[in-house]
Amino acid sequence: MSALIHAATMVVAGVYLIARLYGVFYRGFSIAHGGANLVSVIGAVTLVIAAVLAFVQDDIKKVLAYSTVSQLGYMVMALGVGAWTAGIFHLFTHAFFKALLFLGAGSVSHAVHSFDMKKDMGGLRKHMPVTFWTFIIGSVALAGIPPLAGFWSKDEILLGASRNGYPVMVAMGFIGAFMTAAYMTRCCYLTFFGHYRGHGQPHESPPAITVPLGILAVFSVLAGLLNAPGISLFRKWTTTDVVERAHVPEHAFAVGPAALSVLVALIGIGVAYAYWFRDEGRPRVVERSSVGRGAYRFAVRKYYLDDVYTGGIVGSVKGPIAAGMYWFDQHVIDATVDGVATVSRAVAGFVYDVIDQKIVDGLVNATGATAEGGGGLLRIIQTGRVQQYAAILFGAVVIFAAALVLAT
Amino acid sequence: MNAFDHWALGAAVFLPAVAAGLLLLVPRAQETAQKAVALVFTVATTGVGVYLLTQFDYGNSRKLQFVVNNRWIDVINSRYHVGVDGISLPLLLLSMVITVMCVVYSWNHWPEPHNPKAFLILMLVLETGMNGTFLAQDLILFFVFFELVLLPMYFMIGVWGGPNRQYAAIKFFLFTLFGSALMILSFLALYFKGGQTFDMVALQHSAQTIAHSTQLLIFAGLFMGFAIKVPMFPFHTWLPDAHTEAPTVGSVFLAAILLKLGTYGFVRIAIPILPQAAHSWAPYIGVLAVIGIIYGALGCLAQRDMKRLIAFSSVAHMGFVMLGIATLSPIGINAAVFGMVAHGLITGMLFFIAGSVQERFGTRELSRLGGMLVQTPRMGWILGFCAMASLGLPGLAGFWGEFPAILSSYQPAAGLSLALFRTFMVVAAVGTVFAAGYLLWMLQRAAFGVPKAEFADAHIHDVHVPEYIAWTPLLVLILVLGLYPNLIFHMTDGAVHQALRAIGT
Repeated sequence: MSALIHAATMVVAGVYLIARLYGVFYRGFSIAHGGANLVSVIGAVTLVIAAVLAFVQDDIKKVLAYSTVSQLGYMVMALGVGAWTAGIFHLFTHAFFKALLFLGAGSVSHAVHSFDMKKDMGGLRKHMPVTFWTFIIGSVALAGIPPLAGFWSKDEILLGASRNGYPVMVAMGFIGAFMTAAYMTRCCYLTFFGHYRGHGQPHESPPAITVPLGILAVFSVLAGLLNAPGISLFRKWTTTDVVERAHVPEHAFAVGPAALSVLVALIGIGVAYAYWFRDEGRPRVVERSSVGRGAYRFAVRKYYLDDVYTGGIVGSVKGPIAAGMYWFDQHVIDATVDGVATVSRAVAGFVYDVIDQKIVDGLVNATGATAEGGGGLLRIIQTGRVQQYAAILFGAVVIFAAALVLAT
Repeated sequence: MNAFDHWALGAAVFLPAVAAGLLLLVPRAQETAQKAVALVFTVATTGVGVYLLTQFDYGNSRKLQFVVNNRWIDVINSRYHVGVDGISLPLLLLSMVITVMCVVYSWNHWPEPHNPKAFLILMLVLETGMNGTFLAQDLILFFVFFELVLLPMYFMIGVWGGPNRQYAAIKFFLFTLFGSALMILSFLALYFKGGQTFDMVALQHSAQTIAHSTQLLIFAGLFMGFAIKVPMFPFHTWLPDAHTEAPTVGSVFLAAILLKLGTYGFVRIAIPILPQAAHSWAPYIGVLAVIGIIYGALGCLAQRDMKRLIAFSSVAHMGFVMLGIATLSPIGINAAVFGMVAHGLITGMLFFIAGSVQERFGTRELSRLGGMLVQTPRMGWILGFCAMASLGLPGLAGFWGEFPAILSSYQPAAGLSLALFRTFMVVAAVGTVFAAGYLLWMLQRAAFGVPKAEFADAHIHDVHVPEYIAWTPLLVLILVLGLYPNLIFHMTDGAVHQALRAIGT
């Protein structure tokens, strides 16, 4: 449930924010000028590096999670290349098929009590047909095969990038489309094809789960048509003065790029099919070569980014930095405070023992006057700790008063 | 103005003192009678506060209201001058509410060595001092109340405190007294240089003729008095010891009210009377404030003891308040006053919880705690709520102290360095992440997981009735002020503009 809400709506809040404040970004990053800018680069990089991670996950929900990160990259890239409507349209269609896929993953885990595709899944298409078919619909929609939802929105992004003068982003978009189709093929294969590797007998989920899957599947098929050529309802609904004031260009559907993106997606599916479906059980590239193994480990460890964040940044702040600061606090600052107290007690002791008792009292005794009264009085005043401290306070007051008088 | 209006502020200040006097007459064995007297009088005092709330002229919050200005000490031209405006009012109410809740919380659990009579008397004297400080409009009167607060707290820590209480108590007392000594010198300088008056309102005009270099020195003295009380880095080291060693109620008073006397002093005295000097010192105050934010947060991350962690978090939170003050802008000072109230409620609550944890588990070591959500779910949830409020979650009170303070440093008062204050803004924003870090870390270790083996089979009581009664108003206020912060801002805004009048915003 949390994964569903999260992927479909919560995480896109950032995309929504950019879209809402688009005037700022459009001008600030000179999006109209083409080439490259920070927004589109961040989007494109996110799109590809997250897609790579989706290939190496064994947990079905993690595949979908990295897929979501990757699709967010698409959306941000769309906004970065000036394809405003395409960006939020992808946000809209993605919500349907990603919600469908997460619910499908939930349905599967409900049946096999696990999220691990390699250990506990496989061959589920026979046991849970509704989940299987709706999952396939979601995957195809995500891969961008027409006429399902993902095709229309992804195609608009690629078209916008090419018309607005962002050739690099077009290339990244195609790479992303290829990878998306491929990792979803892998995910479907590991979950639903081959032989069942789990325990017990998996069953199809109850209607409480399959009915929502069906509803979402319908939307995953149809949602893209909202902005299909000739309909363009979505554009009409979403056009606001945010976009109009910035003069963001809009582009009509074009057959050429659309055909190319479909071709790329099909190649992705084909390559993945050749890699995973055939020769089941044979050692793969990543297991045979050391370079392959290294690259695989690099991706499994998420480019070591988590280690840098938790180990490097959080670890050092929480560990040595906080400890060092606290040591400084206790042994330098607080030690100074205690030092002042110690010194004042020493001074007080000196004043009493030497000046008062030996010199003053000595003089008194020497003159033979009545010394007992005066000495006794002083002793009353100068025995407690508070009074000894107060001596230094008094000193501070005198110094400050002198400064005040001198300065005025 | 009806007859009671003339007496209202007097009642707000001296009802608790009257109760303390009455308690002296109650025999030591009659504890119920003692508690009843304390409760009745603190509730009555709060009733006066509510009366003030209803009668306060919000359209005129910049003006002192319910003013009483009588002869007091003629030889030094010091007068009994009290009044309440939009800055004083929320803090006065905070002080009244917190005192009632502390009496209620103490109902059945008195810290060792027991003696409720003496403890209640100290609480009541403390309330007189706190309320008086927030209402005084004469520097000598202010000083008397400001110092009056020290004694009860000294005894609370020194007699009812933890193992290291004597060290903590004398450190608290002397550190604060050191600042007070410099502060009274500045008061005297204001008197002699600013037209032979201690009247705060009159000084706002008559002190403007003082030479700038002298103003700077006078401000420095005031700064030492108030900054130690806040406390600002690097004058904060009395705080972790005092808060940790104090009995629960003492920690609540310290965190909720006593720290605010310092920040209140800046807003009430230092800035309106010496605006030019404040302007010159503001960048340095800002630097210390943001150091405090980061430094306090790092200090929290280094703690093993829950109560000491909460104590250190005060250094960070008061850093936000001081940053708001340092901007000398209306938004910043509004944020500061809101931050004082929010911190009072939230950190007061956190200290209550830490006290209840200590009482139940006999330890505050985070490594030994755990699983409160399983074992004492209600208290676990309350701790979670307060941790969220403390880290500045929007919708709860803490947010409205922190966020506008950060916002205000984008545009400080005219003439202050934009580059510098915008740097402060970034550092303070990083500080909010640290705050989330240490508070969630504390919550995880205290409340999540399963109870540790040593407490797994122990019967740990969840929230008691007196705790419910004491905590509910505070929790409700945290939520209500978070959802509708205007409750405070519409009081403070006029008064804040009045205080900043000479800065020219």
